[in-house]
Amino acid sequence: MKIEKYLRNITFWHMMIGILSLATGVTFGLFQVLARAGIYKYGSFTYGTKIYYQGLTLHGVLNAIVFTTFFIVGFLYIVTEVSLKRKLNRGLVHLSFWTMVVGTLLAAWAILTNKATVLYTFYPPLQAHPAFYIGATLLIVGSWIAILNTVITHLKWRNENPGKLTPPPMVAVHATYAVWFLATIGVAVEVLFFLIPWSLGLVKSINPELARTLFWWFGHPLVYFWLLPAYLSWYFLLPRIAGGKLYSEPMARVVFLMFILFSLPVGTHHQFSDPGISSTWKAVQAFLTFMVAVPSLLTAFNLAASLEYAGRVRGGNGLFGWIKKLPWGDYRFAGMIGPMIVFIFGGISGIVNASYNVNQVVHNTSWIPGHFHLTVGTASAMTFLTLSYILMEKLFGKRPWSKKLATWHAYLWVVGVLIFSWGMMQLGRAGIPRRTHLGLSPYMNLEEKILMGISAVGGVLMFTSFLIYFINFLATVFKKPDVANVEEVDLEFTDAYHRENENLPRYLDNFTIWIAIAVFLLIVTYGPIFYDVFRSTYAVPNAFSPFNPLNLIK
Amino acid sequence: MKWDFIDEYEAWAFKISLGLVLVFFVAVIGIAVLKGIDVPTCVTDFKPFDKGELVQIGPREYQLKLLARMWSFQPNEVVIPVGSKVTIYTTSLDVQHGFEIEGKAVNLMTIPGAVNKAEIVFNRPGEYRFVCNEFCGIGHQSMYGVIKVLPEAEYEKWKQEHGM
Amino acid sequence: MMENRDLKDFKPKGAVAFFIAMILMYAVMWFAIYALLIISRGG
Repeated sequence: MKIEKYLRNITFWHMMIGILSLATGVTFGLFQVLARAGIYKYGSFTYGTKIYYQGLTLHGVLNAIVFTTFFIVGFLYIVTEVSLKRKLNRGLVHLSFWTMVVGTLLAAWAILTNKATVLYTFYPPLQAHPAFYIGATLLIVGSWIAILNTVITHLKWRNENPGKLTPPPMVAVHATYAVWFLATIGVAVEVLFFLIPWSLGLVKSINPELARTLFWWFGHPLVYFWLLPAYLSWYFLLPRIAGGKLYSEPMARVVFLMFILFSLPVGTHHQFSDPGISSTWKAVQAFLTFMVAVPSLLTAFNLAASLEYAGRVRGGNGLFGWIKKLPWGDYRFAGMIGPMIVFIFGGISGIVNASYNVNQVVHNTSWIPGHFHLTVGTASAMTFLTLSYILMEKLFGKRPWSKKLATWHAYLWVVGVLIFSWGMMQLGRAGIPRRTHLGLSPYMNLEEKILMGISAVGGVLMFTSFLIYFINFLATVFKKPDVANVEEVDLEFTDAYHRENENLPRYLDNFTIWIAIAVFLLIVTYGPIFYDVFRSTYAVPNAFSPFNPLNLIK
Repeated sequence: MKWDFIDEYEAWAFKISLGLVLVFFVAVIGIAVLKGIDVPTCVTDFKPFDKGELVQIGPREYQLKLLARMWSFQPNEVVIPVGSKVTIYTTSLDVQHGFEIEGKAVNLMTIPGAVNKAEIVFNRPGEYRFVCNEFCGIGHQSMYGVIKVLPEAEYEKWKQEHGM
Repeated sequence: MMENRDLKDFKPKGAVAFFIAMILMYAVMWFAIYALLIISRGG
């Protein structure tokens, strides 16, 4: 497929804005582990705490929202055009990009000037500058424009190709965007109807529990928005990189459709500890969260079978002999198998989080950042960094400046994040809270300080790994192309051992059905939850700066 | 429904995955129903309050009204005899806070405009640290307190010393 | 290239073994935290 120059360039800028955001966020991440371990103090106490939490806000917003959204939108443009062999609407691509850029700049200004030190969950009554909320809204609206563009393109493709099955990578694109769109409705309602009027001073009161519930309507499905593009790469790129085939294409499709179904009515598992929601409905969403673990478990099997196929093609024998034969020295393989291995542990720690009363052991403890650095922080983020190398090659003919560094960055990250997360999880089990400048906490005992030090070692390794990546990536960007004047872009999607054929039931290619059931599950589970919130919680005339315990509302 | 596009290995992976999460689900709901180890639920019979205190409501039974504000708990030291059953109600005066008792798996969000509740029995003497586990501003890291669970004799002594 | 080589009648025995091992590890790790809940609430 010939990709137009404008789309290649704008995809590059999606990627670049994402990676520069990540670089900023990661740098604050380094300061945070050092500060928590009491090694680095950021100057005076007041200045130190201010900048710790400001840095934490930057770390969360830039890494988890800006980096991911920009990168995913850019990557999925390419997947859409390549797999459908059809052009996107150029005007909408630009409109989406600039809306997202303006939104990001507004929010970044508010955070950098310390007017929005509210962390990435921005729970009221902590109040940020209106620019923060408006910026976040624009970022989301920009991504909606990208979704609209993709859906229009797919519908046109359908009209031109009656009776044809949607290509499997495109199924993954749809799943990603379906989840993202339905999820962002929750946060859009929270921000537009409650936070913006309240931060502008138009209304005085806010119901914090209602805001939380709307936030988590968005906040958990958000993680599948991060994860599904990584799954897309693992399913449809990795098997071929490994020298084999995807074991089962239809199963991959079923998995992505299951994500549409079960990704959404799950946000309340972040609110097991909340007042205002009855335990019955918490249990219902716990059950649905368990259901959304199933497609991930199936993914583990399907991908293991795909890699086994590759290893056997490469001459591996015996029950596990094929593992040795896989191309461990290939940077693309290293950069995806690394996150996959780490995600095995991310998966089980996530199931623990979702486990209703068991969550009481870990809720809001250091266990949680331990968990999500294994998932979004590695499974998604590192896969995206690997994709950034692949995209530089496919779009601009530039192979990595150093393939060796690209490989080693991946393995170093794996070691770093496993140490970091192990330390954080042990601290969590000891009851040490998350989102806390523990270097200044009076309640830390010696054992906990040692664990903090261990996780700091992991953090330093992670930072070093990122630095290697960053230098290598910039060197790749600025080098001369290995292949001049790339026009044809082939992402080299994998072939499958079990291929989809005409016998596939048509309901597996009808996204409307699955999205409709997802909406139904959302309404059925969230209806009673909002009823509970309304009957047992109140709006309060509160607004606070994180720096001052005096109410801003007189 | 025709599912012949999935082979026997995939079908088994599907059953095993579903089986695993169902075992987990039965396990968590089981201890909630049988042992009362549950998550907080919707509280409608207790209005938000603005004073934190410990009230004895029966022999070995206490009600702890715990108030969170930037950046302290009221009360931040609670002394009770061993074997006490404590019903905790918690709310916040300003922003969102958290309330977590170390080693007791009591973990409550403390939200302005809402009341959260947990019941817990302290069968072993000791000092139980509790901390705020939700970001609540720049004083967050020093927001903590302690529940002292004293053996019977020591508790009587403590009561006399404090004129109670 | 190796990509052109196809395996006939491929049975993912290794993947099955890996998957079962992973599920068992999941169960062990999960019940460890589950036990922590019961112990902490019990005493």
